[in-house]
Amino acid sequence: MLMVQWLKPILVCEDVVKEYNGVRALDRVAFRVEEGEVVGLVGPNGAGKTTLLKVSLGILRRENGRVELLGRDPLRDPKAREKVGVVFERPNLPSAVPVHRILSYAASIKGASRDEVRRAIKLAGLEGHEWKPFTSLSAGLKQRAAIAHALVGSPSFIIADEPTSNLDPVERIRILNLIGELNRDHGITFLVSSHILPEVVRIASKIVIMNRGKVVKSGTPEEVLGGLTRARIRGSDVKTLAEVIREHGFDVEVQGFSVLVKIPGLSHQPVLLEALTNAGRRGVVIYSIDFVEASIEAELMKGG
Amino acid sequence: MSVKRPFVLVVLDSLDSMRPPGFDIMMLVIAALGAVMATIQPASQSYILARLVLEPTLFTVALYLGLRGASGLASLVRQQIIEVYMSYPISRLGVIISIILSRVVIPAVMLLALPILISGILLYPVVLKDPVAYLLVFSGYLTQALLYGIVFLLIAIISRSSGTASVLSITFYFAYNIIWLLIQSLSSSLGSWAQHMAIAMKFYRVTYFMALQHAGLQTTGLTLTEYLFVPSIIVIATVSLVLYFTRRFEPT
Repeated sequence: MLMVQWLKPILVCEDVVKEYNGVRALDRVAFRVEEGEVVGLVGPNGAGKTTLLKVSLGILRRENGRVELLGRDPLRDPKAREKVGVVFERPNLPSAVPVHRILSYAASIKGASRDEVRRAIKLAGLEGHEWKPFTSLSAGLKQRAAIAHALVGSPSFIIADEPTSNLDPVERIRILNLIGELNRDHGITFLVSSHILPEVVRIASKIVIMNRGKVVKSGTPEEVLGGLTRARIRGSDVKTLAEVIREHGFDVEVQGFSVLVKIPGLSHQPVLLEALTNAGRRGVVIYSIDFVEASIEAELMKGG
Repeated sequence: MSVKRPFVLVVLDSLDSMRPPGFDIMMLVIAALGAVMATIQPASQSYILARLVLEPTLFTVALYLGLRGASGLASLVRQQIIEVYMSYPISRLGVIISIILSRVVIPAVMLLALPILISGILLYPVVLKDPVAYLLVFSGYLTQALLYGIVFLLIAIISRSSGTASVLSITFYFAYNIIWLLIQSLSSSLGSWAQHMAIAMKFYRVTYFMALQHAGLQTTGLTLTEYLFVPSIIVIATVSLVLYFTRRFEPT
């Protein structure tokens, strides 16, 4: 017997239009986030990702279209945000207040218990730093505090706007792993924006590519990343080379004496160069770099 | 609308807006000022005592509300903390009312009540003669402080810059007081409307006359303009602030 399971829509955006002083920041954007998914919202700077996230939360008004967050319009009904956690691009919380107190008040606003604060601190890996004022934390800990803040109130959905920006590679991987764990082990649905595609690919079950306020392409990572830029790199120690590049968030395949690296776009080439510099520091000599094919840039151009 | 959630936001934002150092030092200075004023110029009537203590305090409170309260709101917008508040399950109306309370009303009440409390303790026999008149004068200064604070918040939310908000707030304060001074000094040649305006623009003068009436010393009544001028500005500024925040404000 064929079993059909309907996924519960967490976020529905239909024909969403947002303008700033006559300039369209979102142009008839439509996409859905279903329960249990990790949706990666990818696009270059200025694509409209942050605007879309804020419109989805009801923080920004829309000129047209429909937004339904957990079955309610967030613009009209603030209860839509009750079970939603948010990690903003700049992790800012009231600066002088100890993180634990901020989380306690956030819990109180969301109708959650103090136990949930302890749980959120533990889940976000903030233990030992929770009594420090937010302003005194390092960038990585601020991000963790922002994640703990989003986790308070047992959210079923977390919106994270560039959660790994301004973090070092090690901290980036930690945060991405944390998102993956929270989705897998706690069933939290995520909408994560980023301009670094390989990062999103690590965790996303669905990818939405935006450019100039429009959704250019969406689907599973395999569907979206069908024909990405690839670089074939030859080096003296292929194993170490592959390891270092992998550490920088790229998908790597070792093929004989070379490694094949998936690069989502031209904007990621600096990251790859950084990876190669680090490989050089570990004693790897790079013999050649050949770019194989490019199609995601073409996808983005179609959107414009 | 649930009242509990905005109330919790008031507490959270108050912890940030009244953070040390600044507010605590201000409280100490104002408490000392109240004690000094009550000691060096001992008054025989409660309404005179309240006026002596609160006259210099109001200027300090206005400066605080402009430099810390209003510019703090501009920082809240610039640092995108306002978006964190707006991501809570609280309506825009709830958020702005919480901010008005935490950035204006609570600091103004605390800063003005402290010297009144100190002088009241030091000269309690004077206060107990007529506590109603004492509180009437206090409410006048508080209302005047609320006028400045609400206008400062309106300036801050529109300008979105801490520096601009501070400069414009202080400019508004001095402009308002210079206009008042001009009207006051020219009231004999400008006619009775100027005399009424000179009282109306400073609500604590209205409540001072009310205190005198309460004590049976003032026989001439106050006009409607005198009663309503400052409260009307407060209502207009508050409604403008609420409408701007709920209908036009975009935290970009």
